[in-house]
Parts: sequence; structure tokens; C-alpha cells
Amino acid sequence: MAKKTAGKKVRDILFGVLSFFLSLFLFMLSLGVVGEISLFNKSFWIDQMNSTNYFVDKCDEMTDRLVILGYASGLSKDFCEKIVDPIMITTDTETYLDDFFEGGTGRVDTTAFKQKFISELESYIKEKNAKVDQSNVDYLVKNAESRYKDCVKIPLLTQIAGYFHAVKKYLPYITAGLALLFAVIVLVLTFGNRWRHRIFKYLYFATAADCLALTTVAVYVSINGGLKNINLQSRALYQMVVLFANNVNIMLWVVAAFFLVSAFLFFFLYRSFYLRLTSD
Amino acid sequence: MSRAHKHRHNKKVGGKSFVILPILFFVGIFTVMYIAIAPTFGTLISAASVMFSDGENDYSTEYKNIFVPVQENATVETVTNTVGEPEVKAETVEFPHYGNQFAEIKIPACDIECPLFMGDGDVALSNGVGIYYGSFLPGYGGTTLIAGHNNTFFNGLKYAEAGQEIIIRTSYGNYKYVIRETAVKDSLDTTAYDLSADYENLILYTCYPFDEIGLTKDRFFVYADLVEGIPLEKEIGEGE
Repeated sequence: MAKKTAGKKVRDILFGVLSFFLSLFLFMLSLGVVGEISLFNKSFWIDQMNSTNYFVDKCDEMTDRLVILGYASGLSKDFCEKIVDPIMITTDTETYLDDFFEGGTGRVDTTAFKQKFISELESYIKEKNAKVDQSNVDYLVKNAESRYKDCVKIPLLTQIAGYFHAVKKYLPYITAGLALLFAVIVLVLTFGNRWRHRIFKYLYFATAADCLALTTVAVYVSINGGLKNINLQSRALYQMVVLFANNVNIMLWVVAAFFLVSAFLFFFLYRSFYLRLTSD
Repeated sequence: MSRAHKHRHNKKVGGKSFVILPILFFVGIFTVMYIAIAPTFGTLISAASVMFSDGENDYSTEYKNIFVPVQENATVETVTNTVGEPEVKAETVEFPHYGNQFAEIKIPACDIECPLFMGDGDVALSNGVGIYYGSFLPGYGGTTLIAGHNNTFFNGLKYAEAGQEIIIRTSYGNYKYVIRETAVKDSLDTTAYDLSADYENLILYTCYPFDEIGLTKDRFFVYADLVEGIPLEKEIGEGE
């Protein structure tokens, strides 16, 4: 009798540990899936940009930068206002993101900008009959190009590029591996327990813990206002990043709610199977 | 099974473990995640914290104007220093922050009259001229280095000559300088200005040549000495 009780205890501990690992893998899997469909998904970035009017705002910011450059180099405001347009910014930002998401450094193609700037500058010089020193003009073009590059680039991505590419490369494998481990543990729980109510008990432990963990993360992000206090020079980028963080947080809430519903479901299944068993 | 027995079982369904274990698992998840993440991403997480400020960013391009002109014949509140000379009382001065317009500069012979800002950032140079943040305010007894664009507010500097007057009007007093000399120097020539000078002097500079399209590598400097104006009480600088 004592031997049987000890064996039952060991089995309970073993399944309890398995249940913990199930919750851990599920939590990581949830974060992995949220990451895959948001941070590491180029289309999600573009969607956030479109939702915040990013390209139009970026166009205005670049025009402002050119106007300031114009003050220092003898170019009129009218000239600076006709160089960039939202289509040019959209195309170059998408090319930049393509390059970055494909593992590159995030090269900005300035060809269209440079062509437009140089052709407009030549017409402007001709029209004003202004005196120029070619080396000063070259320096101006180089400076304008550099400003355009800075405008299109997303500084956050440049700073985290190393981590980003490493995680992006392995994330699908990690996610698949976690899903596999999850399936294996569920199978062990299913075939290792004679009584079905116990399977639901362990599944309840795992999903309830994940619900708590994800809710904590989501609450922490919500309390801190997402990324509202992030320091970014570009207003367009700031708006995009704040919306991005809010949407990721909403995803976390949704996953937490899913685990809450699952936990309730498993609890009631456990309860009904347990009661059916005890009533027999 | 009797009704009473079934009821007792019914009450036992669940129990403490159904609350305690999920909480323990939750603590365990964060512990494991912390142990796993901290060594790899710890540096990144620490670095990320410097990217946040206490409040939301202000993207306004508006600037604060704290300039209240001191009338010609008006007197400012002064104190007497150790050698018996008057100094503008520190408490009466509103020290300008970066980006504030705090004065006006006027060079009648060059037809220049424009706002003067603290700092020479984009907003300042788009709306007037600005004092290099590492130099001194007028009245401080050091070098005041002022930058402006040659195609806008400092275009008139092309007419600058020795002997002409420069007037800087601030909220704490008016300062008059006389141009000593002008010079064209390379933009990287650090001998063009001495920010450690222990006497009141003014240096204006802009890109050179004037009225040319393009970014130039030379700078046009105007050097001037103070001829009139009450010095600031030194405690301001030491206190700030």
C-alpha cells in the first residue's frame, strides 16, 4: 500500500514538472508566434506605416531637412519643396525594408532622389544664373543624399540588426521545435494517465500559468504606455513605433484571453470527468 | 454513492493546488526566461533603457521667446563687485535654455537685425542666428560665438568692416561691440576662435563665399570687442 502511494507521488511530481515545461514552452511559443507575425514580418511593418500616414509625414520631414539645408546653401524654399514626394519615400522605404529583412544591412537606394535633386539643381542654377563652385555643389549633393538616407533609415533597426537577424533566422525552427515539444508533452500526459480528468488538470495548470504570465507582460506594457516615452527624432517614426507596440500588446492580450478561456475549459472538463468518475 | 458523499466530492473538486500551482508555474516561467535571456540580451535591454525619457517627446518646432527689451534709458538692477564696479544682479536674469530666443542682434551698417537664440540648432538658424552652446552669453566676460546662415540672416555680413558697431539687446541689458577685423578661414580651422579667452569679445561667423549655391568649406569671421555694457554678476555662471 505504502509502495503504491510513493509511486503515485513520484508520478504526480513527474507530471507536475511536465506540466510546468508545457506552460514554459507554450509561453515561449506564444511569444514566438506573436514575434513572427509582428516584429519579424515585413508586411506588418508596412501596415503600421500605412496606418500612421508614415510616408506622407516622412516626406514632410525630409522637405523640412532640405529647407534647412537650403538656408545654408542658397536654395529657395520652393526648390526644396519639390524634391521628394511620398511615392519616392514609399518605394525607397520598402526597398530598404526588403534588404533588411533579407539579412542585409538595410541599404537605402538613393538613385531616384539623387537624380531628381541634381536635375532640379541644374535647372535652378541655370534659372538664377547663379555662380557655383563645382566642389561646393558636389558637397551639397552629398549632404542632401546623406540626409535622405538618414530619413529613410529606421535607426532602431540599425541598432538591433545583429540580434534581429540572428533571432529572425532561428525563430521558425525554434517555434516549430516548441510546437513539437508541446505535442510530445501532451501525448505523454495523455498516454501516461489512466484517468482523463488528470490530463485536463495538467493542461489547466499550464494554460492558467500562461494566462497569468502573458497578462502580466501585457499589463506591464499597458501601464508603461507602450513605447510612448521612446526618444525618437522623427515624429513619423515615433507614431509608427507607438502604434506598432500597441498592436503587439493587443496581440498579447488576445493570446492571454485565449489561455484564460482554455484554462476555464480544461477546468470544467476536469471537473465533469472527475465528477463522472466519482459518481460511478 | 450516497447524495451526501457525492456532495462532499463536489466540494473537493479544484482545491488549493488549482490556484497555487499556476502561480508557481508563472513565477517559474519568468525565472527561467530571465536566466535564459539575461546573459544574451542583457546588454541590449540595458542599452534600450537610455532610449526612453520621462515624458512624451515634443515635436513642436515652436520656440520660446524670453526676450524682453531693455529700454535705452532704463536701468537694470545691479550689484557692486569687489573692485567697486557694477554688475547685473544674478537673481534678475532669466538664464536662457537651449533653443530659447533671448536677445536681438543688430548691425546697422550691414542692415542686419534679427533674433538671437541660445544654441545654433536648426530651429535657431531657421529663425535667426544662434550662440554656440559652448561659448559665453554677452556680459559674461568671455567669447560669444554666434553662427548664422550666409543666405539668410547673416547675408549682410558681406558688408562688415572694421570699426562698425554691433549691438546685442538682451533682457538683462544692452551690449555694444565694435568690429576689430574680418577674416576668411577654413571651416576646420580651430584657431579661428578662442573660446577660453578671459575678456569679453564677440565672434560672428557664416559660410563663405556669400550668394553662392552649394555647401562651402570656408567661413567668414567677424571679430569684435565690447565697448559698452554692464557685466553679469559672476555667481550666475558658478551657480548654474
